[in-house]
Amino acid sequence: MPVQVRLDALLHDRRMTLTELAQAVDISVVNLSILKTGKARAIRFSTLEAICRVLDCQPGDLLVTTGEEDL
Amino acid sequence: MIAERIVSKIARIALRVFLIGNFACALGFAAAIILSVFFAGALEARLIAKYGPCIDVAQVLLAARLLFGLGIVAAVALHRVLATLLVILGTVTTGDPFTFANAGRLRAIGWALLALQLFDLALGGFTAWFGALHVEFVRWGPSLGGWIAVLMAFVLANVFGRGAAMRDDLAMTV
Repeated sequence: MPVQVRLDALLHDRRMTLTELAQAVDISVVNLSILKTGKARAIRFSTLEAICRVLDCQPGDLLVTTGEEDL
Repeated sequence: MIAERIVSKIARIALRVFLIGNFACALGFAAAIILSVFFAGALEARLIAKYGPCIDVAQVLLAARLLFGLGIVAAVALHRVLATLLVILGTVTTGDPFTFANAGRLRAIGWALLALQLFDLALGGFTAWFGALHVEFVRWGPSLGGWIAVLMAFVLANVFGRGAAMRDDLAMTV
């Protein structure tokens, strides 16, 4: 059951760009892009907390599990 | 940092010197095989003069040629060890040694060291063979350190592989 990052959808809902989020959470655009495209292998609690604070959401809004089996 | 750079430079020079020495040895072995064919008569006469007419000259020459041939194989294995170490040293200098490529290189060194250990065992066999032929030859004993070096190379290869995987994970942690 792979974990999917819904950062793109959350940014769209908040009418926010990745660059603006990067400035707000003090994380590089490159790293956020890795997270957004689902290439990240892990996310730090501090990153999760910062993103949730800026986007005013819960970790569960950002990370969701999909039904597909991880092969 | 300066000390590290000096050690690295000394190691690089030493490895290059060993590589040249090893290449010279391989050439020497090849030359010995060729010369033993061209000067077989003179060699046989010299062996008979030293050990007496009862000596099995044909067997001694065969053993010597086989030994030189195995020496060339050992030199190839040693070249692999030294050249690979030189490449690994280069990655240390550039500041990125914990890579999957280096883990593979260390594994290759492990296999080459294993080949050298097998050569060492064969050398033991040659000692017994020359002994049976009543010909003087070097004393031989099993090399425990060499077997430990083989194990160390494989263990270090695994450590490097794990380190590279951990570094990759860290690089992809946001």
